[in-house]
Amino acid sequence: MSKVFQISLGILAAIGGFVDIGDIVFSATAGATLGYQLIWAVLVGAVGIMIYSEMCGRVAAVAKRPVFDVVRERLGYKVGLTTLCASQFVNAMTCAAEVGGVAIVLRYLFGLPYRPLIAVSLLILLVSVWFLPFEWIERVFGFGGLMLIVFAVAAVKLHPNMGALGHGLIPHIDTPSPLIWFYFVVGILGATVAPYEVYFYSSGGVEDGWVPPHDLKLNKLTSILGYALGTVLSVSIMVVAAELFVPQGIEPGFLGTVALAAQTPLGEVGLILALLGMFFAISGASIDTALSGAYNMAQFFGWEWGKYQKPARAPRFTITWMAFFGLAFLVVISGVDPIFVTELSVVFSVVALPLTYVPILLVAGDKNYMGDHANGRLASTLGWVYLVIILVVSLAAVPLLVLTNMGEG
Amino acid sequence: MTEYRFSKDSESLQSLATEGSVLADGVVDGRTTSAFVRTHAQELASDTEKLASVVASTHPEGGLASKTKQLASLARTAASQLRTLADHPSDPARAAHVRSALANAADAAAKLQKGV
Repeated sequence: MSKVFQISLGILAAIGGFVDIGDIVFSATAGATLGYQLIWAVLVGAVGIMIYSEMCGRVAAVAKRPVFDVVRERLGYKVGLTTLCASQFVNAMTCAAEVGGVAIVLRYLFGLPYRPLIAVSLLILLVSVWFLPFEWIERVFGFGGLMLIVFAVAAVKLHPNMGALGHGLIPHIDTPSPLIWFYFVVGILGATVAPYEVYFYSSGGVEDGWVPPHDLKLNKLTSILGYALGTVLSVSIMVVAAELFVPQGIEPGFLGTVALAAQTPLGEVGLILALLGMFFAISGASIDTALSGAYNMAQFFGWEWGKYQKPARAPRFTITWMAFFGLAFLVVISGVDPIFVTELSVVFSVVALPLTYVPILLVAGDKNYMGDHANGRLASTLGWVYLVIILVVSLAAVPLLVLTNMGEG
Repeated sequence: MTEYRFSKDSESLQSLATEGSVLADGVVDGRTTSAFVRTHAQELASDTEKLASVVASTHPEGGLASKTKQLASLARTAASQLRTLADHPSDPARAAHVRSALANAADAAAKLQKGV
């Protein structure tokens, strides 16, 4: 059991980061719009986040340096500050989308008015982060999010077309609107390799007190298993959307549409499990983004940080994560649609990706820092290949957002 | 209202009405919860009302005037059915009627789209 608990950081990072509101929306919409055509994109993104998470975890364990510590040193103050601003903007947008998502899911579960539920969501999140130790945040929200496995069960029960599913592993464009295809590729990759996942993961490694060599194996296992699980969930949502929504011409515009996809094959139990899974996953993502915002600030400016510390020992860190939740609350209570914010935040997060991943790749390969644990040839090659992919995707993100009218054509 | 916009709006109405019909189906079979049905039907109704209002306020091109009126009317009907579902989320008899009305609205929207 302790081994299972040990990988809970990876599970929370994957569930909260990989299968957050952005991924749920993008996977369902991509499945409903393009069927199985983009399953390969989820896999490409999954391998990328596994590689970079493993590197971040290794750097955190060996050099005791989380991502923004490395960013400031490698990029210098000015470029580092630009990276910080871009990352914090995306973190704040994502946090707002997630807090709104939690309120939407509570509304589906209890049928109460939306605005008071935004306040309830905020309270749940603040109380959770304030009172729960870091490892219990990982466990409660990571393992609670596992209820999303209901989508894998639903996908199996729908007897998907295995030929089409297999064909989806090979990139191909089978749509009259190639730009829409590219938009969803960028969206899926952006949602899969969102930068806040690595901020949270590497800082979590420091919070969990990882030390080499024992925890390097744990890091590898955690990053691979956690994100493999996230991949299964993400692909499952795409499959149920392809099976149920494509034939009926349904365009998922709400989280409720995605929950309906679990209810159709599995009934009330499927619906409730899907909603509970979304609640924990999206709450986990809210916590990931708020804490990531605080980690980034504290690491960049050299403040005391860490959930393992009492709030009075790290006051600026504590105020920052609370401010992130407060800002998210103000954005959502103003009436902005969280799904709209989600789609924007996913695309804009892609733009911040290279600035986050370049310094990680440089430090993970630096023998002065990492000694014998520096990147080997395989990790280094894969890291550079993915960096090129990330660069291409980040350059294409905003033009595609405009040209496709946010994927609506 | 251009042909392209008309086609897109017809697609949106088909999607909203079909989803509403699937939601109502869950009520008929007792496979859902009333909180979920009430909330999601409200969301769908709100979007369908917005669509009806946007379609009705456009200035149709060429021969689209009559079709645009029909589309706006279909959207209003679908929105009204979705409101009924939201107000009676655990009434299987009403849900059966809503399901059928929404399925008809989706079919009619599809026919209008094909006719353009």
